[in-house]
Amino acid sequence: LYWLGWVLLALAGVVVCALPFCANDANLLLRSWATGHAGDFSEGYKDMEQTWKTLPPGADVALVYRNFSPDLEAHKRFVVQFTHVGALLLLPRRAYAGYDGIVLNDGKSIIEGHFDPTLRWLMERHIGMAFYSRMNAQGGLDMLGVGLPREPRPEELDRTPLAESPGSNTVFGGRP
Amino acid sequence: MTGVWCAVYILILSLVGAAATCAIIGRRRAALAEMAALAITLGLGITGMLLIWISMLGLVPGRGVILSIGLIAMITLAGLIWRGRFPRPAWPVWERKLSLGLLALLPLLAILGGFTAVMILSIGFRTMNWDSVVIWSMKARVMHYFPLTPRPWYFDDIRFTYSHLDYPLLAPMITSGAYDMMRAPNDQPSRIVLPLIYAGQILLVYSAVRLLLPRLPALVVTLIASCPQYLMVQAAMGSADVPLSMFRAGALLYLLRWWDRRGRDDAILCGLFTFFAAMTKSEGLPLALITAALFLTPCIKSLRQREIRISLAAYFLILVVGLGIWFVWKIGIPHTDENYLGRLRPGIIFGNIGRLGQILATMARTTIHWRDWGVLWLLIPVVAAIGYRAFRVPHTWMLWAMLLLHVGLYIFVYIITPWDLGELMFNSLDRLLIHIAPTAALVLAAHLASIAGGAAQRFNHVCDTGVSPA
Repeated sequence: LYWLGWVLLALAGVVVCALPFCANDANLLLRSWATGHAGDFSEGYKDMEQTWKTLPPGADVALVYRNFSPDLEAHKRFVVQFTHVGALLLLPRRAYAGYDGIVLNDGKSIIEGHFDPTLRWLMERHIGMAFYSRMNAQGGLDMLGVGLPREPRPEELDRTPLAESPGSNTVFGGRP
Repeated sequence: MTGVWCAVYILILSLVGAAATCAIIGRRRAALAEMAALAITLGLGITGMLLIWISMLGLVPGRGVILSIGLIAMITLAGLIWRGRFPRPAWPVWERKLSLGLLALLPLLAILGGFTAVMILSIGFRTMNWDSVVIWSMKARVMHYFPLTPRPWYFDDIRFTYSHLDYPLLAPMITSGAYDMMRAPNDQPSRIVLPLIYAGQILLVYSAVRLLLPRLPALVVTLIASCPQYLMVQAAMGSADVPLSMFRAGALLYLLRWWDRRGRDDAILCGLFTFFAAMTKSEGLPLALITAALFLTPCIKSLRQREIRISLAAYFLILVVGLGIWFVWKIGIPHTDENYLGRLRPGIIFGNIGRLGQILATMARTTIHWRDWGVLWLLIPVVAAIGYRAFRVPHTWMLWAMLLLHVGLYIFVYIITPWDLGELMFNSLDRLLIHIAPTAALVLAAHLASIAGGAAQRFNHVCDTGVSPA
């Protein structure tokens, strides 16, 4: 009985070891590995990397969200993932998605921070680019990066880089 | 080429660990599993801390720095071996005259299966777990690009508080070291350190359990404690919970030996592992206080002995100096969400005491979830009841004290937390159980040993000689 007990425990261990391959997380991982198609988050992560690769290197970046609703789950999820993973992938550049002293813990707080800085604010922090994610009238997503002018005219300083005369902006990337 | 640099990094970690093992335990007899465990885990802990201190001196630890550390480790190791200062291996086959035992192959193969699963999940994929990405990968990348002195903007910008700015840096620095070797923050190859950490955890748990049990039951208990499904998936996720569990296992192993032997090497190793745990996750700090208390308790009456005083001084010096540097460095880092020290007020504690029922019920539900945890938590009350005679041995009481204080600490944190309790427990309880798993394994082993009989004699014999009795 003593030895039978140990054998049964060891068999239980074998079953336990096989469980990761049945668990939801691991199942997703293994399926992704086998098919070459990663899960939702990883796919989004890869897209973000591609997006950031279109940006010129060096300058700090402001991440601005327009027309996003703090009440819609999909909007909140996009904003928080894009901000948090963006901050990671943009390093060593610094990513700003809120005014000073604003906590960006979740999508709701980021959207409700209404971060849409003026050229003056951006230049005071030596930010070289503003990256806009905008929900359009059709419910689709527009993305574009706007390079900041090196020597702006004084009247431009209190405007946001994208708001006025978009034709004069340097636009990078742009992905539907 | 990135794979080659990652392999060189692993080699350097092992060299540092091997040199430290020889320097600390000297000529003492040790089992092969313990030596391998020390080479891996000391290598991870010491190299990670060296990189943090170099970074605190204002230097980004690049490939050249890490190669230099490897070279110094190699010279030190060669010097120690030249002087005959290396552990004498206690070959496992001595236990049963060249017989491994067919039955022992079963749990051994299952553990190897678990390790293979973690290896596939680690190296086959990039980091996907949300906490691992936004907390630990973020810190690893920051330390890859910036030295810690002057303190990078990241640590003082409240906008990044979602990634817990004041969390300890040992685990991400180990990943950052892989980035440094590759000269780029390549996520997937850097995950080669994850199976190494998991192997260290398994070997330390096995070495600790082996103090109390013969080989076959020790392998089974290691399997039960180190290969639950949840723990294996987390080991491959890249969070800091399994590294913390690994360092906790090391601290427990040498705490157990210290209770019996009072060896200076045990004190130093227990101090190092306690310190590494405190530098891995915030939970490691209160655990360091608990471990220090249980380290001190059995030798209060022996304080007049010079050797004991030296060992105690070594233990506390490691903790005070190591953690002192860390605390001085992190002065002023904002912590807005989890200022638990600021919540240690009677009003909050007694006001939230009603949460206790919900906390205990959730804990009970989580621990009996066999798909996640196997039979680990279910076995403890059963085996404790059958093997009640283990309470005649003092170290069983100490292990239970450690287990209850550890669980009590987490219950207390849930009582004072400012977060929504249900949501927080849903997201964190399983991960906290990973930290407790090594203690649970030892409690289980202590009671199983008493069922087989002769627990105390076996424990003393293994501690004295490093060899398991036949």
